[in-house]
Amino acid sequence: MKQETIAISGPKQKESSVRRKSGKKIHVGRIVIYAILLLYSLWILAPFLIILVTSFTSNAEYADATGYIWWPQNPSIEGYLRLFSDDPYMIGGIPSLFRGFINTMWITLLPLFSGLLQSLLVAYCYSRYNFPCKNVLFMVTVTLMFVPLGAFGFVSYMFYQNIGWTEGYAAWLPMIVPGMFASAGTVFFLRPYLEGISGEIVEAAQIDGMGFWQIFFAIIIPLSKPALIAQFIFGFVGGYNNYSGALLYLNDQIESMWTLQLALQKLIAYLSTSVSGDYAFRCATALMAMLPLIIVYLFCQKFFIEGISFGGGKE
Amino acid sequence: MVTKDEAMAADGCSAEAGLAVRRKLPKKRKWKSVQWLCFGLALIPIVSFAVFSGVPVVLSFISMFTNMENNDLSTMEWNSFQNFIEVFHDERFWRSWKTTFWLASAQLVTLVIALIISVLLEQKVKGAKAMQVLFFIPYICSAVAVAIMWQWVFSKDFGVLNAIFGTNIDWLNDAEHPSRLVWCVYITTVWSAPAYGIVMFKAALKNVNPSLYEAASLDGANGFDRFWYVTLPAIKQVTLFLLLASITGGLAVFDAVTVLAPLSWTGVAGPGDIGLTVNYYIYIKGVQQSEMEYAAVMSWVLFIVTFAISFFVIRARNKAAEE
Repeated sequence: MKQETIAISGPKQKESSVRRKSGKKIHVGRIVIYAILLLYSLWILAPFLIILVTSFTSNAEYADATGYIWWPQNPSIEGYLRLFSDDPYMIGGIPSLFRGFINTMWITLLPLFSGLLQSLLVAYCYSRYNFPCKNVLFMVTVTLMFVPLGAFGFVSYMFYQNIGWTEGYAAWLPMIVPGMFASAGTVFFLRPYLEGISGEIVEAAQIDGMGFWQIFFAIIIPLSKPALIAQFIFGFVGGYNNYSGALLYLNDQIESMWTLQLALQKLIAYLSTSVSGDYAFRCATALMAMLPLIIVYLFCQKFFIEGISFGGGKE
Repeated sequence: MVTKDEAMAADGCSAEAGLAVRRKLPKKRKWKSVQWLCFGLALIPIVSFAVFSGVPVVLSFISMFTNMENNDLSTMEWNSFQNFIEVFHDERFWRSWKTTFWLASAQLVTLVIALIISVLLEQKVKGAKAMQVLFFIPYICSAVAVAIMWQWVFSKDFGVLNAIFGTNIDWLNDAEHPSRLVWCVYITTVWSAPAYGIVMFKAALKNVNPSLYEAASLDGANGFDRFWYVTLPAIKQVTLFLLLASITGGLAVFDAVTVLAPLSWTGVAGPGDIGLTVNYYIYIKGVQQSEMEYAAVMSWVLFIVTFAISFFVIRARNKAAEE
């Protein structure tokens, strides 16, 4: 943030020397650019700051407040502590958010690894081998990818209900099993990337006597890392934030099965009925639910931004 | 293709295939076991799609024409289009479309914001990197958490918004001004959705050939001309892709409304039922009230509308690709 203020104070030397005549105009233009970007930064930060402040404001202060408390007089971590003591869905001393986080992790990661590996395998077949009905199969795969089936998310429940996958622990299955397999979209995404890998490397490996699986594990997987990371990030963020799926299948199940987003929503719904408001508790809950992914993102932001825009520039 | 054939020949799997092409007898070629393995693997995405997407969709299609007891397929009974008649006479269903389109339009605003911000970030701004990192954060926050955050901002007694304006307005639950709730959801969307677009646009802008800008400048084009005649055509593809994603995502709006407009005791979503979107109504009917045959009709209508709009965008996209 400090850098920006410096930049506003003086326009770039290079530009003012190149266009001395309209130097003043550029100056004004750049101030406008910085102003808009700073305002947008503030707009993105604002809700986080607002709930951050409230998460440190005790219930006692809100008891005689008449409006939003911009800065607590006696900052307290009461809101965070209550996550460990007043959580109505706590089992065996483990807060529902934490248990939800653990559930979310394995429900997301298990299908993600399996599905990605299979998709890469299929893409490898398409890019390096000729096989029966190859073109027909690829055409079908691409067509499937383009069908927007998002509208059927909720009515799919009927299918799983009839095969008994909505009762007890089986209710986890609809969230895991479909993702365990290679998906048309991922194959379509990975194929051109694999075709971009130099054929000479694969050839050399084949001359060395490496077979289908050896080449896949020793050459294809390491070389397609960037593409895999891109897909992984998409899948991971999607799984971490998946709410409607959890609501659909786990809403009526026991607390120990809930995922993070469902636990978050249940906790907030419970707290919003409380008389004292529990505002700090609520804000702390929302922050704690977002924090793990934000921390991962801040540490690996290069991978996130490159991964998300992967292919975006190429189109 | 030559190198690929050679690569496969080295593996010994397409030697026959190569010969067959030369003899022009493709029907008689023999496949090696590796190739059958590939064939089997290539079937995986198709079969899993058929089982986990195809079967549910087919079931929902059949169920539209039947009555069931508690979604049990064995109790299906033909009911002579009764579900369609009911859905199309359901005033609540039509009302849910209004809110859905209203909220989906936020996606268009989102695209414009994302484009403006990404163009500004490309203007050799100091701290652009830090800002880009910040601007992407809403994408990784769940719709639920974001809605909870904004719920607190819009809160009646202690919310920031009322503190700033010095008012005591019930933004989220005012029976006399129900549209306020929709605007709150709208703002939530406009806050979070540009994150993805900014990253995509920025990647596309980086790939624009800089010599084009120089040429345009030499021809005396000003900043706006350069944007209009150089930048926009170069990012047409990404724009259409984002448009497609926004339409499918926008019409399926669900997560945020369920938090900001939770169902009341009377089964109404928000003041005057204004928070009811199509997907929300599908959820209520199909899952909560176990009337999947009814929800299936609504899902198919939603699918057809989404598909029809996407179809036109894809066609425009293909045209843009040809140019």
